[in-house]
Amino acid sequence: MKSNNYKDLLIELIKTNFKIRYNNSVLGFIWVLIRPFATFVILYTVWSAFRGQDIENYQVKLLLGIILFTFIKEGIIFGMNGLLDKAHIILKVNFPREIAVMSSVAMALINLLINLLIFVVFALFNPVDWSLVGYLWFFVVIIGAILFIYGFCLYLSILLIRLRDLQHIFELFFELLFWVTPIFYEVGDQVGQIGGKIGKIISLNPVGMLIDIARDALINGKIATINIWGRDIESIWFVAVLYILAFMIIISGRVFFNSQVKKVAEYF
Amino acid sequence: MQNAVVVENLTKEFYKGHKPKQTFKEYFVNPFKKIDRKKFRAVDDLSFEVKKGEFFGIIGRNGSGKSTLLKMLAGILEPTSGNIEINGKVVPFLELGVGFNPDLTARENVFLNGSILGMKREVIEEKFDEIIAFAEVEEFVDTQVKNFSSGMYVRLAFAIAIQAEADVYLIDEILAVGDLNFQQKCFNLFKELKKQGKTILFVSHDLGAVREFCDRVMYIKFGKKINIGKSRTVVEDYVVNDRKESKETTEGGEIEVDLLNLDSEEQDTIVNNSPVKIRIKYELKPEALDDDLVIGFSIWKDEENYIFGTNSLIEDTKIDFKQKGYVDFVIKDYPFLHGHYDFSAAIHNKEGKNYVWKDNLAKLKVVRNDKHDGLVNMDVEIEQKD
Repeated sequence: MKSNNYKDLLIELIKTNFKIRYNNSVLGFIWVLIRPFATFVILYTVWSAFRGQDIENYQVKLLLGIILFTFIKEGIIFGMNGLLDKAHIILKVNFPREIAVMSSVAMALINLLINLLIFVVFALFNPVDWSLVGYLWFFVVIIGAILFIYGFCLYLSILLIRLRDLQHIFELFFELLFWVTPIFYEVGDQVGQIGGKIGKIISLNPVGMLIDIARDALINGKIATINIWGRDIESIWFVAVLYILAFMIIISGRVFFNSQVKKVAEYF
Repeated sequence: MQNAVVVENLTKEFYKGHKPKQTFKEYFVNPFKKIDRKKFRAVDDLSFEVKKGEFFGIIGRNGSGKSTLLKMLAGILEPTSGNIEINGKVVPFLELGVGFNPDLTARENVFLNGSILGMKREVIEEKFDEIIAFAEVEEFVDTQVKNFSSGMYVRLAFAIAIQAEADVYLIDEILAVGDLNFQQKCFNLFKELKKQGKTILFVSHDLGAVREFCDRVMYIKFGKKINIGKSRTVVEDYVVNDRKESKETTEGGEIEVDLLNLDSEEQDTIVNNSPVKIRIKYELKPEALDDDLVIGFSIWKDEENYIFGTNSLIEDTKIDFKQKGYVDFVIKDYPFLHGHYDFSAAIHNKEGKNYVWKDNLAKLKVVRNDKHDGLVNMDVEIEQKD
């Protein structure tokens, strides 16, 4: 098969994913928008009553944080289910299985782009410092994240077939992760308010760092520094590490995936 | 001639009886408990070659490993050991339909499946009308396929599969659900594909079709190759073998059949529609007698074609079984035309567990004075208007 055919197949699978997910719902794919927006409304209402007002640009920060967190969560959950969801096809036809995972991860990316539209609307009413550098930097970070997620899902999608618990484990994991990620509070709060060792440990949360960097790039239009235990580190280093890890996990993941994918066929 | 498919010492093992572990609990609840994981070989050390342009049939009973074999050839299952070499592109058509998504419409599924089979979008667009026409679903192009009948489903799947240009087609039991018209269309198409030098591997229980279309046939049983060769010879071998081991058992006793006339005298030949009394003599072991038993017989023509069967349950008669005894079934006029008829008899319970079953217990020859042709006699009168 030529790579051109892969492209067609990838597009068809992404289309199918969308149709299946939103086909029989009245609001259709508007659900993509409703979910993060509803979370935003609740968190904003509750949280601003406590202290939200003193955070600069709280509304846009909160919204973008939720959107980015949703993106990472969906990327991993969708990608992990990439093989299992297509069992009916995988057991009948031989085609490059990686495309099944790829199309599922791509769903998360498409959802992100749709959600960024609400963000843009929001940003019109809230003063945001746009800059081209920040804008580009944002996408560099997102692409790094999606590459990493894809590589990670090459492992997870195979493991899920042998170990269905992963589904529940990851759902729980993301539920907990949401609270230790600076989405509705500021990065400094992790160390400052929570304090002590626990604060220090949870401030190492890489998802938090990633969201923080992406948020700074889009809202403040700058390539910010991240603060790890009192030391300022250029976010460029974080992103460099992200890319290196992403390529490593994709390369090793592909070897693992291709060696295992036929063996798990009888476990579907 | 060049080989299209070469299979060497192919083996596939599955674990028997236990669903493989799939949750943490199963992995950790009792890690020391050795689960009795008996392996069973679905395909056992199979070697064969298929030449380019050949129409190759694979026959065997359910569970003999045919579908597992095709799945390995299609690259869906990984062999436990052995080699498969295929020259050219393979398009599989397995188990009643390619992977359709039931929530998508026929149109959407054509594009999805076409691209899974490696077709380009433009090619699918170009051939779309042809696919829909072949599948005879013109009116339902925008209907979700979950609302399709099984026949429509398979027709559509087949129509797509044949459009994906391939060198080797793997076809598993597709004709079972299609109507006659569609079957004929498929066979015309097979002939066409064969003319183009394509190779077809064909799994079917339709022995007539296998005999008619296949150049060579392989007969497999419990994953092993029993016979391979000219289709006629192999199909006959299968029929004889398969009948022989059909369900015959004598674990619950013994059984015999006598063919008698109405005066209870033995007869092995009847003329025209004469009466036949089928006396089934049995001897039962005590454990069989405890069960709720049914006794019955079946009639076969030329050892191959099953033409009639009944039993005491169907006839709604309660039989009082003894340790040893007989039951008479009387056919008032035997309707079948000239030929040889074989009788099988069995005693089983209402759930279908066989205690005694034997084939070829008696042979009846029918000769006729009239010249009616076919299988069954009918009284025919000719009316003529002035």
